[in-house]
Amino acid sequence: MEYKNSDLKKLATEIERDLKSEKSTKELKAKYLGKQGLFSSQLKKIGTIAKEKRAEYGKEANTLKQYIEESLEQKAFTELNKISTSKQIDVTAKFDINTPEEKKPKLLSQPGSQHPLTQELEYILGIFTSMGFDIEECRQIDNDYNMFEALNFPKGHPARDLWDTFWTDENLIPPAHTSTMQNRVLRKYEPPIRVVIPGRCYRNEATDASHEHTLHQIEGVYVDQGISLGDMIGTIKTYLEAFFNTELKAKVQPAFFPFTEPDLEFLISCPFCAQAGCNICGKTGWIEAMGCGMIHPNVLKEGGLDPEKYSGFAWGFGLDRLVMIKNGIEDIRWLHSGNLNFIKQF
Amino acid sequence: MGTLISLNNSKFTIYKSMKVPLNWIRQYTSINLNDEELIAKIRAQLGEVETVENLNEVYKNVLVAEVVSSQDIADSDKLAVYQLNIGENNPVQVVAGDRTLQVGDKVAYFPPGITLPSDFNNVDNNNVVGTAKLGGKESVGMMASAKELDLSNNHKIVMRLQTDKVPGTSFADVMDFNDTIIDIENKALANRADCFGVLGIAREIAGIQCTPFVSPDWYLNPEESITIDSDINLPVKIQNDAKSLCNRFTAISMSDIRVGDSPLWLQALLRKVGLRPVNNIVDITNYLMILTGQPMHAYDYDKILARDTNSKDTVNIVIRTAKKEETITTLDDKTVNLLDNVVVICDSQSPIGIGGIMGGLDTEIDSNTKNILLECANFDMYNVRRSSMRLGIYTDAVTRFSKGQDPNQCKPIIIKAVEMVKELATGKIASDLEDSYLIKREPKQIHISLKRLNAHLGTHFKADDVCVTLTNVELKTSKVSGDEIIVDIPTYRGDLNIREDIHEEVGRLYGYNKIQISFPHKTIVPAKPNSSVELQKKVRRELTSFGADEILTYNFTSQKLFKSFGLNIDYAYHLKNALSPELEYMRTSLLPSVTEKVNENLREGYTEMALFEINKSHNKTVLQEDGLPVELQSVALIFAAGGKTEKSLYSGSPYYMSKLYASELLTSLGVSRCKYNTVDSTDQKQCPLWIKDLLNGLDPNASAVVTTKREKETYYLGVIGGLSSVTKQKLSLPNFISGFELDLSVIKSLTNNSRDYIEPSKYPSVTNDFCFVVKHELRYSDIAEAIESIKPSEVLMNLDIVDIYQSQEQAENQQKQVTIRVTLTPRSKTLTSEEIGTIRNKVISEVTKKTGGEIKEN
Repeated sequence: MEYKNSDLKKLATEIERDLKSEKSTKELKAKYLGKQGLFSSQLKKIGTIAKEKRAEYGKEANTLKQYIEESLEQKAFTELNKISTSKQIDVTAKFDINTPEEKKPKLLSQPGSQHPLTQELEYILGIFTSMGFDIEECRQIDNDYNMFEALNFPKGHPARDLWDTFWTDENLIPPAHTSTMQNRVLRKYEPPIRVVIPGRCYRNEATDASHEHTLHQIEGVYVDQGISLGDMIGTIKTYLEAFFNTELKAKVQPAFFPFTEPDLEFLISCPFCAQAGCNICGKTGWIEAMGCGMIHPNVLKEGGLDPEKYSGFAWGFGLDRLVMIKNGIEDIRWLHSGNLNFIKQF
Repeated sequence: MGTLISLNNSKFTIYKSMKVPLNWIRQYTSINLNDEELIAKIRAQLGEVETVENLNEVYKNVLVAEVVSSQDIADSDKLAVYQLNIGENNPVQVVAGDRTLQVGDKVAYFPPGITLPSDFNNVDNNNVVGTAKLGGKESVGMMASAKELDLSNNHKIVMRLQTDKVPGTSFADVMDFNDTIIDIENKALANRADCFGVLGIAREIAGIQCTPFVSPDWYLNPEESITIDSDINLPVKIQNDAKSLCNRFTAISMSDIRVGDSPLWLQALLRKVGLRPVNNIVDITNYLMILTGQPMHAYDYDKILARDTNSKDTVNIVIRTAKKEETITTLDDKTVNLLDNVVVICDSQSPIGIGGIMGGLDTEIDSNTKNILLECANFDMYNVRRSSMRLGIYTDAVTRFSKGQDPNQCKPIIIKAVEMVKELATGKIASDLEDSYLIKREPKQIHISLKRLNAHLGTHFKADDVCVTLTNVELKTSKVSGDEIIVDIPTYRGDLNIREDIHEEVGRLYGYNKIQISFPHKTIVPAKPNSSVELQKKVRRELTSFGADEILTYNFTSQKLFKSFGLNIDYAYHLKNALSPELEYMRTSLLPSVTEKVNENLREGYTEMALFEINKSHNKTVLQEDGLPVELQSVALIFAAGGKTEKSLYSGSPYYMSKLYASELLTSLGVSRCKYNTVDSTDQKQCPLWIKDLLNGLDPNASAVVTTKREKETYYLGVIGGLSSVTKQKLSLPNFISGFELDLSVIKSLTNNSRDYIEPSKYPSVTNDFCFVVKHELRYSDIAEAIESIKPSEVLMNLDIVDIYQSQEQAENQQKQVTIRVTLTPRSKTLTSEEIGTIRNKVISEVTKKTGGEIKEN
């Protein structure tokens, strides 16, 4: 931070120097923040500041005060840490001094559990790898360009409201969909492009038994010459049949995504009841498996591909609900609970 | 504008669904399917139908009744007793708090035993009509106010029914409530401004039934001019100072207005779509909005004139952006602080409405209004949306304007409104139709190729099929050649811009179910393995086999957690729209979030545990070239033991448990020869920021930075440590707790093509134990390095530590004894006892020389 007031600037430099020195937190606290302290005295001088500069001065003084307080808190933490700990141990050894044989460190004897989400993810990626798809991991912080603009969402477009995004102070985005990687994938790979993108996504919605702000998606991108909507249906159906290990009926119905044209919802005959009607499919016999569509020419163009020559399709589906359905998990909050009563069952 | 009171008081979202009564659709196109078939078709070809509703249930037992006689009750100042004809032989007697009813008036009658429509969906307060004694007279059932009928808020008087229907007729029949109302989720229609009106939906329903649709003539071909027919002149002038944000503004004034209730058919339609009837003028603007998607607004002409001290006999409308610190009280009686770039509709001085969002309270239509000003305008969709979000005002008008309405429809719709006001409110035209239209939206043409369309969809459609399908929804087509078709796009279809948009229309309307499933022609190229994904799989497999459990935690953490670990929060991305303070910062390392899960599991009875997570974290000061943070892909593990388990199974510093897990993991991944450096001996310049930061939360005397060397290059793998006493105290953690975090991208780079491997020997190995008494502060690695430095030729040495012991006496002398097992593996021949003796002596002399310790012989 650059202070416009020269006194505050001087003070800031001095505290900076002191923080690096051996002086104790207590000493520095008295020096700056005590009743007669340098900062407190400086603050009393506000009366001498020209009226029109007072607001600015007040603001700067506040920032400096906050800085001093926070730095001293941090320093106190480090000091406390140093005094309250035992003697230096031998970090290169395998155990401490005088550790009896039976108490020497041993790995836990019972094997641990892998999280059901990553188990399912590995299984799914295995299917896609066998179908010839490369894997590209999704970023967890991205920018507006990749999340929206490159995907044919103009700035200020209402379609952006469909994605309840989080924003950092710098206007970066923990991505709300794995499509945030599409532009990178189109640029990185040469057609035929066959890539799946697993990733964590974030939606700004309150958490309850069926809603989570943190979820997992798997995106697919296929681009080549002469790719049709029929090819998309065939490819996705093949994957889903491999995943559920059964033959399925498939159909599509309209949806809206700015980055595909046509935009579709992919439905499959319910693999859990063979369309007899169950709770999972809401007695309809059909399950919404994913959103998909033919990649919009603007998205191809933005990815450096000529839409006159190439066409392709993309899809995205959620992993969390799939894991819940497959395992009969009723409350989505278990997935990020870190609770061993939950994890140890897998 | 939004003169709307939604029946649904729950939180308004821009993408709420839209109610469409099918009987309303039937006014514009025939429906040849039964409801069930139609709904299935809408789902498959237009959008999700969320709910299907029929109001008949609510209203079927309410009856039309006619007043036969009336008499005021003498000892009451309000009550009157009425005899009602309800279509039965004998009239019923009802007492009411309304003395104004005349013989011959028709009313809605609630027979005893029925639930009030206004309470129909209210589980807690289910008012059932009964028989009671009022003012000493028996009252059987009751007469309905508009509020009790759930039509409006009017509860003062009994609602009069303007109907030809005979007494005893069900009120549901009068109102045409036996109608299927479908609620279409408009998410799939987010780019279809036209489908935010009943006309647009009717056009689509015709299209998916493969029948041609024709828009009403008043919509397609509005009258060119309008004739003033009032004796009074109510002049209007428009000055548009916000041209880029308001492309069109039409307005007209009307005199001789009689404000009153709308006719029942109009009230019924509004009730079906979830709006409350207000009065005939407001209802007309709302009706036209629901019908066409185009919001309108009506002002009281005299109120505008009265408030504007600059204008004498002309209403001067100024469209501009709001000035600094300007405010307006909106129709819902809230004072709004306007912001820059928000479009306001003003008189010559101050705002009377927020453009495209909501009208002002002080020019609202009320029962005394005589003259009105009608507005039908077009506002920039992006600005309406942005303004609505900034002001926090969401109305049905915003929902529609933010989809981008067609400016060409302003004129036909305002003319239609004038016609309706004449008919329903006796109004007369008192000014010219003022029209400020800046950039005319022109119809477009899109050329499509049949071949390309079929290649894109994977279909075999014929040109005629395509043309008929498109023409059905008023997209005129002309065939140029066998392959090329030109499609005329009406201006209300702003969503159709490129040929792929037409492909979608054809696919959707003709039916995606006609598409042949096919497969891409694939060249055989194996998928390239993703080394990062492979490494993560391996880490999971190893750690779970070591008894550790994999968990997932959030990227979002609290300031409190940063403080508990002494981490620098300036490194963390802060969310400006976080869900809660617990989820406000993006983590800069994984270990703290994993640590947070320890206590809950201890409480659940897990007295010893190893929890790990593989994920990413971010530091906002460590950036890539594109300004995005470098993503740290790491694995973090926490080992904790509590209660009796700790005492009976563990001893010494908890650091060693995490070190065991880390070293076992690194070895199995193929990274051996790691160095465990104390914090003091770590190169502050070289050490990555995240490691230095994480050390704040660890015990400085019991933590190590893990490095490895490859060709003189030092790689920083991560950090291991017991948690600091401050952190333990702040998070109420058990005493025996430690953890590690390792950078998987560094590990990946080291193990990409090779691993550390040594060819096993064909000759027998020999083991030798050495016990050295050394200074207390000497490290095992110092001894090990001394031993390794002798490097006997053609013999591999493998070291293991057997014991570290300190007697009382040694403690006083600052000494300890370290027992090391050295395994000698010859490469080229079996070792003789003489050779073994030489090596042994060399080991002893080297260690004593380099460490100042001495050998302890048994």
